[in-house]
Amino acid sequence: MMTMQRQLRLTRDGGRVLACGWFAVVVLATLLGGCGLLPAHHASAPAVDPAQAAGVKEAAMASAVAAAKVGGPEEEILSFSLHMDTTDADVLFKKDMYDTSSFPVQLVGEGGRLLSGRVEVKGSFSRRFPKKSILVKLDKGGTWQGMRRISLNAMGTDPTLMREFLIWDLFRNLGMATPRVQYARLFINDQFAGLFLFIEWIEPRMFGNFGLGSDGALYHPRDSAFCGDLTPASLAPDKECWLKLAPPDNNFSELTGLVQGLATTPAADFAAFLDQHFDVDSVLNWIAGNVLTSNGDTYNKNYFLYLSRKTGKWTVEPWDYDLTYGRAWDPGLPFPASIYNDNFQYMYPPNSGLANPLKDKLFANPELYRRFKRRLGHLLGVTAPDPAAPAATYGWFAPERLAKRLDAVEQRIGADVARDAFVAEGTADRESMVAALRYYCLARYLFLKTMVFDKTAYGTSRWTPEMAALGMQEINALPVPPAGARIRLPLDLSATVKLLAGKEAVYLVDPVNFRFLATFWPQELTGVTRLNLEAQAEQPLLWLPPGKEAGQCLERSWLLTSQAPATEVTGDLRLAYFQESSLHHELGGAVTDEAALNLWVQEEGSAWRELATEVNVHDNTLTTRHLTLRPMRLYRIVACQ
Amino acid sequence: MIRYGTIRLGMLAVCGWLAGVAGPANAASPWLLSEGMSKLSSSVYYSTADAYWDRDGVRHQGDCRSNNWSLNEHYEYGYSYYHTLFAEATVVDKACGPEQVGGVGDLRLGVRGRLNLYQNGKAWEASVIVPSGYSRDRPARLGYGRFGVEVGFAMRFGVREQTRSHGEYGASVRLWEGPPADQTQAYLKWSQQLSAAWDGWVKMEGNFSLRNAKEEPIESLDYNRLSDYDVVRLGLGLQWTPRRMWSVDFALYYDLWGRNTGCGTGVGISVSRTWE
Repeated sequence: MMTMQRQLRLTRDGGRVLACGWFAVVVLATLLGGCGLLPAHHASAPAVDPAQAAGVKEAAMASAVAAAKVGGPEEEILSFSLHMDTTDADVLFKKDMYDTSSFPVQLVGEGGRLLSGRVEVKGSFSRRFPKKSILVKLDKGGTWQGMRRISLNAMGTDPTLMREFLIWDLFRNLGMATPRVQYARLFINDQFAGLFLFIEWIEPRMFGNFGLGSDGALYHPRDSAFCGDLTPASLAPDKECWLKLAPPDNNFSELTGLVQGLATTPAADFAAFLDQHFDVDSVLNWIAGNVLTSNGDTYNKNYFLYLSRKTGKWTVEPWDYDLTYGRAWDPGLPFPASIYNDNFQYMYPPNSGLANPLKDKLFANPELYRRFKRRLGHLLGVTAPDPAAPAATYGWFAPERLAKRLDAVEQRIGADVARDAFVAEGTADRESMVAALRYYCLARYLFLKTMVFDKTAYGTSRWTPEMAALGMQEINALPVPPAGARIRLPLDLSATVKLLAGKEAVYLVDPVNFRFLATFWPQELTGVTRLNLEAQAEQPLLWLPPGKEAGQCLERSWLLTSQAPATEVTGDLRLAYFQESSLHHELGGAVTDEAALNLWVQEEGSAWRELATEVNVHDNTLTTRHLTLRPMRLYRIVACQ
Repeated sequence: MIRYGTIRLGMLAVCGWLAGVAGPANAASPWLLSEGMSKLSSSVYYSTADAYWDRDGVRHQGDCRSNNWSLNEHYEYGYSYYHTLFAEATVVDKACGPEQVGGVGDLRLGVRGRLNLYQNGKAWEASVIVPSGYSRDRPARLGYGRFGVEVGFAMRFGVREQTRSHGEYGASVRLWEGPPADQTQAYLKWSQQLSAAWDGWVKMEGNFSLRNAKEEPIESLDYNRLSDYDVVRLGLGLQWTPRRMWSVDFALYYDLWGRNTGCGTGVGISVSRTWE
């Protein structure tokens, strides 16, 4: 309390004193000039009570976040020029997805020198998309910047073309042993073939660049086996869960030893085990990255393990983040729609994902969970900086900083995206998807901050892995719904936020269920007020506009009030709805076109009126502009087609 | 004379059933391997027959029961995206009454190419059939003892990825150097997923003489009849995929109709492995 009050006093006085570790960063950042960039309800005005003092702390921390490096694709966009037979070039992008044939090619190398090799399509699920990821293997003796393999990710599953870059950018800045990743223009026979992402080939040589030696053992869960989860069962020879990439032999003894250690070490001793056998930062960063991006496509695949002979420790190398940042697997749709769909989620807890002892025991061990939480809080910018993480990554995932990063990336690649024929076909859709990516980053930040870091009124944690485990026991005890049956989990949600003049946006987040309910951008405000929003989610509608039937509407009713007696407020309102999968969503049975939903509002005592509504079907939001709320009035809202 | 001829024909027809078709094999395959991929299939077939169809398609009881075994080794190699090479060798052991013969039968070498540049499952095929040097004078023999050339095509259709089902059909023409009647072959097959590791399939195939199963003016009356035949056959099978790149095929064949050939049944098992 003393520290907090001292910090508060310093801040109120405009002082620039280095009070303690994390606060030093805050003050330094303030000196550098950024301030007031957090959402308004976070950046509350300083006051003397402890709760508001915490707000001051947040505001100061927001300054630190804002002042930190924005980041982005600072490097140049590479250019790769391939020359090959025109039929081969045509076939390369149009052939059957599972064909693994290669074709002769010449790569224009440094100084215009032609390097001979073979080109092939790479990847697995991404092979289904018209824009193929390709791999150029140069003939023996030929290298491009020291590399014989040139791997170009098409990002075909991600029309934003940003997901992979964003996470690799973070991992690199966290100091992980990561591949070189840069955007790259691909030309085939002098024709622009699209914007790709160059990702250095994962091989021992790459780890050698990070001081881990090039003589280590490299393992990778085989992508199509879905079983490389580090359990003893994953070692069964008939399952073929693992590929040993280096050295190229069939000696799996080291991996076997690791798996046995993971299986037999009790969770209580897991911190010591991890410290002894792993580059712990690589594990913390990998899991933190998975948590931030809601990566549900890993833990049994999509990572590498490298055993360094120099350190004697295992390093985790993350992999494949195209189906992240809000993408949701759909158990009710057939493959491939089960993987690639318009569903959206940001509300999975940190320890979600497939079972893997490395992840599960980390969350079960208090010391490791504390270290993980510190790393996550560092990246969100909501706790003191993690001294074990690079200072530049503090607040990396804070919304305003990430928004600037997205802007920077978009600006950098915009011109190339515009002329990428594979992307151009769905330009309008891409804009909506980019908006959804931005929205995900904000929603995920608010969700994690509220769930993991905000305290209850009693100062206790709102969520811990132990609580999650108990919750899962309760869920597992529930009757299993029949396969293909619609799931409904009714929730009563509410949030209240203070509106202040001059603030750009406020976010309404339910503090109990951690759901992001709405964003409000006040435009005209005659005083100070509180905005209260209640939502009945996944429930029959409480009211209906005339001429509408329940099936035409979302199964969500909102009640909005401005709670100051004399303050009228006008602003833009964005409301969120829920569509996690084809089995779990709020679309009424008669909604045939999600994009045609419109908000309807009824001011208490008045008639229903339809509001001009912008629908983003990718992030499941409904936005209406210039909505005026009179003081102390109830506004009933629904969304119908 | 007629009686003797009929009995003799019966024995030879039953024995000869697998002389022309050493094992249930498609007229052609629609599938090309990716460049650098190899596939090896080892098949064992057993067939038996104690009756035959004469050249008018009338069924007669034979004077012996045939017991025919064959071991077929079929290797394919993805030479490039555009071409797959294949080679096939068969070891045969067959007996019917007093006749018995065993040894290496015909060799087959061929190439398969794409009929559609972008899609697998639509292919042309050309191959040569090379006799391995066995005697062609014995009533029970390992093959025709003649060089042959075969050209054909095969197509996939109705591919449904969700249910792992698809159909195939194909046809080919086989031209022989010398007495055997030139032939056409055709097949129609449907495969359907039964479970994660099991698929079922049903196949109709026919082998038809281009001389309408008539006698040929060559030295041996008996051989003429056996080298100029029609047959329509039904196949049922199960394919088990125990692990990646491996499959095991269990097949049952039944001759529905024919002319100048034995009417028999056969069972087979084939193990295939694909690798890069």
